[in-house]
Amino acid sequence: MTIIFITGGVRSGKSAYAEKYAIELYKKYQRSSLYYLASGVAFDEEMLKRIERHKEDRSKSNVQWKTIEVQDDFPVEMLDFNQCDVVVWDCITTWVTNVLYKTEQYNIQERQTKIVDYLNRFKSFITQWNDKHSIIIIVSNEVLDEPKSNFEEVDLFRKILGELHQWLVSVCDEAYEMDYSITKRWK
Amino acid sequence: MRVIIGGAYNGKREYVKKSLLHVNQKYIHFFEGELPLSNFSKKDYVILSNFEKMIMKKLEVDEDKIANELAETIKRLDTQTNVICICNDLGRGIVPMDKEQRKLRDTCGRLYQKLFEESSLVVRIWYGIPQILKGDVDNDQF
Repeated sequence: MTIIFITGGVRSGKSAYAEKYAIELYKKYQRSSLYYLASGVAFDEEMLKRIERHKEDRSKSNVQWKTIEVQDDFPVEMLDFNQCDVVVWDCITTWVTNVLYKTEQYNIQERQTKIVDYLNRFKSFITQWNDKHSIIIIVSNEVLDEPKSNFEEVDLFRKILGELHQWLVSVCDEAYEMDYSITKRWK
Repeated sequence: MRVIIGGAYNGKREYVKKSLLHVNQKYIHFFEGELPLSNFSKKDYVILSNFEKMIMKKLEVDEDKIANELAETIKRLDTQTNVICICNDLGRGIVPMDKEQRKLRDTCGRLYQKLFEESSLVVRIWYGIPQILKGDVDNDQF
């Protein structure tokens, strides 16, 4: 029904905005479930705290969030989203990083195929949920406004993310860029 | 002169190509990381990109001097033909650790300011969506 895309720099308030917007839509359209797809991996103390803080924020809210972890592969629950659901995915940047990490073990050609496969499945999930009238809010990061990296891996990441953002912007109904709580609506 | 600016992989080149669909291919010339040496007419469209590479070649020269020289050459080129500059926005990430990378970023900023000033149209591209920062697309047909 509706795809909403939100990007911004670090600590720009995008998660908070996405969650608030999700709750608003959940109440307004009287949806039955509010899903949170989390892609963060607790690889160190700071990351663990960050994830805990996000969890705490959600538990304090007066609505019940259902959290599903999507680090790289897609859990089967994701197929069940239907017209009664509001889904927040926070964030796609992390998911892409995880996919790159996960496919690192393969040779270039195999890896390319695997990555394309992940991206195609991602796109088909978004399209399917949209066809089933879910409300989907996708959060991502702005990481493309800096000099080209000397590391091939970083450039591959930027290319994949940039093209994925372009796709999301082309299919979404609303697109926002956050700059320290100032929100620019692009679409 | 016209400027199309945006982050990497945001669809800047696609936007330029789409805007020039009405122009015969033989009049469209792309230059990446270098300025053309040949002459062009007002029928032509000269699309310049990868200013980073042009700057990297002269990195031992002073920041303002590089930016001025490049801007002057591009301005001169624009008097004989139609110049479109595709600028990678580099200025919004973390300050680079490496001295050369820092200088590259600063010099790009200086150059872009000059190009913006000279341009009748400046468009920012955000994942394929154009935002007019200066000028008017309707009055400034490509």
